[in-house]
Amino acid sequence: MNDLMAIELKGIIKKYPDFTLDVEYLAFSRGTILGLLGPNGAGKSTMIKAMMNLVGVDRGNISLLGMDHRREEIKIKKQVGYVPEECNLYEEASAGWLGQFVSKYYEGWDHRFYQHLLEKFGVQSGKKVKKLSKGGKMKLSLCLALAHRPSLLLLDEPTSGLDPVVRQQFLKELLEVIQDESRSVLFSSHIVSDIEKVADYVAFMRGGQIVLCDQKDDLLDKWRRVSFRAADSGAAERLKGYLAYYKEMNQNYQGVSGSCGDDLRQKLAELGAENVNLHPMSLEEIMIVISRGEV
Amino acid sequence: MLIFLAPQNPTPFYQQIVEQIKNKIFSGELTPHESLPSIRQLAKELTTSVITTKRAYEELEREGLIYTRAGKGSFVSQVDTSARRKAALASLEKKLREIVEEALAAGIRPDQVKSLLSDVLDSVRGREQ
Repeated sequence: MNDLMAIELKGIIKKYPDFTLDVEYLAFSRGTILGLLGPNGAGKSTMIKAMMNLVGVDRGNISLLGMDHRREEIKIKKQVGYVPEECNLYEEASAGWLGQFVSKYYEGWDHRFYQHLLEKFGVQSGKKVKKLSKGGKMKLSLCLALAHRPSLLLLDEPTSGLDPVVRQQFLKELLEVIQDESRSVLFSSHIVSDIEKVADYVAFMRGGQIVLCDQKDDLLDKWRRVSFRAADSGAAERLKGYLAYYKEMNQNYQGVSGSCGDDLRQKLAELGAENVNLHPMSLEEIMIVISRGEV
Repeated sequence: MLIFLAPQNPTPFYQQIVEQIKNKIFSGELTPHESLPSIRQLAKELTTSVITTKRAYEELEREGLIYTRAGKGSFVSQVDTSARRKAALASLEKKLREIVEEALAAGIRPDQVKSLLSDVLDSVRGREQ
């Protein structure tokens, strides 16, 4: 177990009748933000729940902050802020009451900070949960998770239901968390631009597996939309090796490469490609290509 | 320190940061030995990732434009004019390389590229005089 890692998952298997979570390896270092992407049903929430031991895994090791997620569960939970996808707060309680209630579970609870967060995100402290909008409930959950200054934040779709202004505020708050180099954040989102902005690492999930995990900037560096013409079939065969996915029409090839170096253009030209064009891809484009397995 | 990141700009974020800090150093807006925000502070200010700002600082350090003191942070280097010219030349070469590669890929002949470059050079210098 590595103490410098925020999270480390090894050989995780959880079988359901119609779905298997199968994570060979996932880790990211402290002081950074990991963004978790993937289509609906890819297993993002299940994996986060497994980290919280809300879903018991059949096999494998999970360590959070260098501690075993089962053996040291209580110790871990004191240092983790978890926000699930669905709001599960008492409908009849107010934000103020919930703050008092939750504060008893955490040594690090900072009531002034909690008040400050509620104000910042525009959550009225006297209003009952059932009277809050969907976004309001999410904002309240986030305030509750942040107010005990956890070392690790696990956030399941925290930005869905929030308007762009609040989302920006929220992302700033995450960056505030990691001003302290020992604190870390994992958040899943459908809103790729949020992850593109602040995540240091990005993991893509598909069909219960992590299909790609890398530093975000490296991903953006390595992936390119590629098009070229290859007149002879021998050259075409060699060139295809550089493309993760492609389609062909009249000897014109269009595809994406996940292994772009500074010299990709030169390499392709040397192998006989003509009219080589390379275009950078956004994280969203990369995600769509990987999820669908086609260009 | 005001830096603007344009998501629409195809230039990677770290590169945008590098270029803007470079401009501030060369224009004198940032003076030698002035302290720069920490990697994490800058990431928060720009709402961008820590690794992105770290990479920008590493790049600037490699080019000798800033230096880092462990535990104290990063500072602007004393940049002399020759270093400034060298950096400008390196950046020009990089941009030109891209332009030329694109031109050749579009089927423009090398001599056409050369004559176009000298035309542009003449017209810009004519305008300045």
